[in-house]
Amino acid sequence: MCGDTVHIYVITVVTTVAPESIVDELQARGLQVKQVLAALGQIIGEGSEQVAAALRELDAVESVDAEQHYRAIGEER
Amino acid sequence: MHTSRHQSTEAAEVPGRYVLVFDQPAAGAPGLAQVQRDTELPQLLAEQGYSTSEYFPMLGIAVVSSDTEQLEDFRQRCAGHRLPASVVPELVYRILPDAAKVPGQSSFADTVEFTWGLQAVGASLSSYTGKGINVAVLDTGFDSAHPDFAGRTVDTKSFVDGEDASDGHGHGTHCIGTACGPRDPQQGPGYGVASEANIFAGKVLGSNGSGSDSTILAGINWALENKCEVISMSLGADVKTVHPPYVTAGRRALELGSLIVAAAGNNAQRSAGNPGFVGAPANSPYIMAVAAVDSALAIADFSAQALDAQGGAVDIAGPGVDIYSAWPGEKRYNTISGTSMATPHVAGVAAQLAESTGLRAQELWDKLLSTSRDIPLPAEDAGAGLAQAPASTEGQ
Repeated sequence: MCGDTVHIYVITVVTTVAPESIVDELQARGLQVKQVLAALGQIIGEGSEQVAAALRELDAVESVDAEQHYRAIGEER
Repeated sequence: MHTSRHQSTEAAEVPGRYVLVFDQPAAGAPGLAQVQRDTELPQLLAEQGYSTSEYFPMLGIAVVSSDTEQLEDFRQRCAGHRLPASVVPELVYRILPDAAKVPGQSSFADTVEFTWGLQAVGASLSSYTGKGINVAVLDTGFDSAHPDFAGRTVDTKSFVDGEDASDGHGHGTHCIGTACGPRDPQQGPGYGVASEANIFAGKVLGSNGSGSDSTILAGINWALENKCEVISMSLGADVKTVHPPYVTAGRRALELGSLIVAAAGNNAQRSAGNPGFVGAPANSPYIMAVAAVDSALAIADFSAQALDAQGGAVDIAGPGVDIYSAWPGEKRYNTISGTSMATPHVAGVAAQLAESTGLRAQELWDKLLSTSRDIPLPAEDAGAGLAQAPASTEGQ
């Protein structure tokens, strides 16, 4: 099992809940909160896959997604 | 969504010819029975004096020659028989013309006055400059010391740990130049579409050209807090799966009056038979995906094709091959290619349309598509067509 592997996660909060209001609850379940994006209704934090699984069980959470990486996509050709 | 090309130039009505469609039951009512289509309808048509040679019972559709009086009489007879019928004029269709026959200029080149991109989107002829519109470009930062931007309103912010908002890469300054740079710089051709927009330069990609959800979403959040009507993102990842955070981000942006445009992706190699696919975050259904065309308005070899999934459509196209724009440092200018370069052209046009029409969010999205120029490329390559700046007289 690799449930202890730590990732950055984007937690999208349901539209009826202010993200600031559930920060304590997410932290209590093991998420290390890094950013609260109020306009988007999202929270970014770090935690294990087990923590992510626990967060997905919360009614206030719409989705929990592991962070992806992107690149600038213009080049000299 | 938003994949249909406007067809108004491709079809014309045929005088005195109508298509009768007999299958529009009221909500909840069953459709026409086969026996009605086989016997009752042809009988009614014949009684009205219509030929049944172009009646198609499997479809419940007839094409007839008729005057309007006769048509109205027939409509009433159908109503009397409780047969739902709709009538539309017959249209004649033509194959899509080749590039040489499409109205408007089909090939462009940089001139001493304007880049080919500004000419192709019509910005070089438009009096609209995006004045009063906030445009966020989320990229590798911005060279605030660039002389072409002296006196401009530019807010900068870095979301990349350990890096300030300056542009150590060049890509960000280039994209900002295309979206919001000058049309009459001290040297070289004009290269900026929305040349009087307020610039919000969010650094979400490091000087190595890469970034993550943490930086990009924080940049979008900042742009929304600053009421940016247009957010331009020339970045992507070659993943087909829609990433849920950008579904929320795109939808939330539209709800808050902002339109996000993003590069469709450079993962195609069409010359080798690989059409590529629209990657994240442009494959969010609420983010406008931008393809790249060259100066002959052909699809760029690298420009990604629509992905067969909701949100995976290419929505619109912009100039993206050999694009001249600003560059940091002493170099000052550079010519590069990518759907990254097409995206700020569309963002600039969006700012012009936001200024000229007052439209925002979804209405601005719709306006961008409906005013785009039809070019002879399939929708899966170029969406609704080439983004077009509002003409100087266009208003709400």
